[in-house]
Amino acid sequence: MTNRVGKTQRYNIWESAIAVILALSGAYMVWQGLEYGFGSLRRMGPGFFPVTVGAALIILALGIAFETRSSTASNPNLPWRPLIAIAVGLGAFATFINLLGAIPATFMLIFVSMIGDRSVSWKTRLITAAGIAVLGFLFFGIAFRLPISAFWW
Amino acid sequence: MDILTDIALGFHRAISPDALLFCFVGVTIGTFVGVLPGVGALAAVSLCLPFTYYLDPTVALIMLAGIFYGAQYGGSIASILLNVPGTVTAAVTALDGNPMTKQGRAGIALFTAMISSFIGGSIAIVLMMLFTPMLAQFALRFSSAEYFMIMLLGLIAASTIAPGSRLKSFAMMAAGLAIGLVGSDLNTGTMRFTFDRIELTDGISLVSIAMGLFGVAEILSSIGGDRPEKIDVGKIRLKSMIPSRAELGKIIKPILRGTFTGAGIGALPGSGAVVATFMAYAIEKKVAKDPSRFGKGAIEGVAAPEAANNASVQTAFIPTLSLGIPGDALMAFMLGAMLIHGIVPGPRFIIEQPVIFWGLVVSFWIGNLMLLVLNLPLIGIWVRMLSIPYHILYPAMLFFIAIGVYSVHYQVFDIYMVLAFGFVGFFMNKFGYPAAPLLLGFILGPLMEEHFKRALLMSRGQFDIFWERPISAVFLAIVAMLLAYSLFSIVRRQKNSKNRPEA
Repeated sequence: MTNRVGKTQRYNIWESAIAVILALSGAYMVWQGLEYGFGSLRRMGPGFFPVTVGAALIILALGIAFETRSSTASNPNLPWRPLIAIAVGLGAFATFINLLGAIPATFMLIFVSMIGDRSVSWKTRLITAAGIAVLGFLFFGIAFRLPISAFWW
Repeated sequence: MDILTDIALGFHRAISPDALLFCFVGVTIGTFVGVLPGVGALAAVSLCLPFTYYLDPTVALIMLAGIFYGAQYGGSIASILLNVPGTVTAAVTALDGNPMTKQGRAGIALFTAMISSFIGGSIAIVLMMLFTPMLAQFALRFSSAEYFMIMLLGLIAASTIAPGSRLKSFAMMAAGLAIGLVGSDLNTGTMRFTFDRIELTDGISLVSIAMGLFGVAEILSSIGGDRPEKIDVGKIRLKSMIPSRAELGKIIKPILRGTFTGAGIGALPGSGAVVATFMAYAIEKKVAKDPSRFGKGAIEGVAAPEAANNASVQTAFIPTLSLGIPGDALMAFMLGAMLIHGIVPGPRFIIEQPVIFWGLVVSFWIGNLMLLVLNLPLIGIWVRMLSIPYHILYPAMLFFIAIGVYSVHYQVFDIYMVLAFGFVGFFMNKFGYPAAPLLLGFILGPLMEEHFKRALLMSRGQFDIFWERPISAVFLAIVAMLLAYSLFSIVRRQKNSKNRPEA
């Protein structure tokens, strides 16, 4: 494939993969929608809309697959560092907000997600994380009276 | 003089202390995020939504709307002074605003932008006062068939106007409709696409989607990007802002032209401030005696787009409030926010909730006045905001997002949802899938399903109802035209790509 089409018009695996995901989601919706019950036009079942939207999604995905089959767009350079840092940071917040309390969870969120920007020093990360954790709790926990606890005790 | 009593009623609500305070808070936050590049108005509005739950609905809406139009004012500051547009619409202002700064006319450019925004906004608010009740009166005749059709029209129009691949826009619209289906079905209670998660019973929350797609995704794309380093403040004094009489004379006509262009486009379904702003700039260039001045610091190139921008932002509320049909993603979000606050926009909204409607409209004007009076002297402070380094800003935003979405239901699941939508949004940005149709589809989907079912129930399962009723038939015809146009442009795109030389 690559040999015939040349370098500028490459078969773009990312674009095609997205189209496949969209088509599969559409197919899943049609399948599930039929399970929910399609009903009749006069008395539509809960599956009517899912089937219709799913079918539309499949058709559009096929169109996209056709349109992007030879894309000049290069595969993206994924910024792995920020992607992972923010995923882990938000994940840590979600995991620890109930276990350890708002201040430790916020500290982890800020500290970990700041690792995503390599130009920042460890000291800045530490200070910013601690600062936002404390100020954030004072603001939301004390001033706004959100029912969150600062620590686990 | 019914309308005057109504306006008086609105004034009474809008100048009460709580309304004034939160109007001020809203426009201040709005200006702040407008100044900052990489923080969109939608991200800011969705960040603040959870914290308005405890407020009176009118006050909450006043504040959220204030963020929205405040951001338009703020956006022009950064684009004029530094050529870094804080919002998409401000990019147009930068075309002539920044050259003016380089010529040492920054003060005048800023003043022009502010006064144009104010005049544009004020005229549009008057139009809004006149046309929203009229449209609502007309819409009282709508049945479910018309509602379904006009929502479909709004969706299709928004997807057609979005830049880039039509197919991708339409696919995102369908994806939005699909996401809107999650939760229990209104009529039968059937759980649809909940994957046995109790958190999904009420559907995916609007806040998670908006914060993910417009907040986290934006952060993911911006980290490590170029930021303006040093900013020279202090040159701009209030005195340097006062334009000469000749300059004032030069901007009046462009402001009026911009206002009416913006007001017209803003009220249409599917087209928002971006289209209005570009259109106003193009018109100015057309009518100018010497078009070559544009891009080199023509004052009309600042005045008209800024007026159009603010006018369109105000008139966008007309269809949202009178019909319940949002024109773009931001208005869709406002509609969602209203529904959360238990307000159902639509023809009956103005009649049943006159205090909320008129209070909101009058607050727009008060907010615009606050922006004009406060921003001119405070420009130095706003500019200093630009020197907040991004590596401090984005962790703080992430914290606001996390705590904000958590505080909606106090469930951890929503934080994971934001993260998931952030990643989805990031890849959508990368591959040219627009997020606006998705949000629009998500919000309109459940309403459309409801009206579609009701329309067909009324017609006993006959599709005739959609073209036998005249208003519905007109909408259907426009939908058909837009679809035909889209199909044409998709085919043309294909033909063009075939002509590329094959190696």
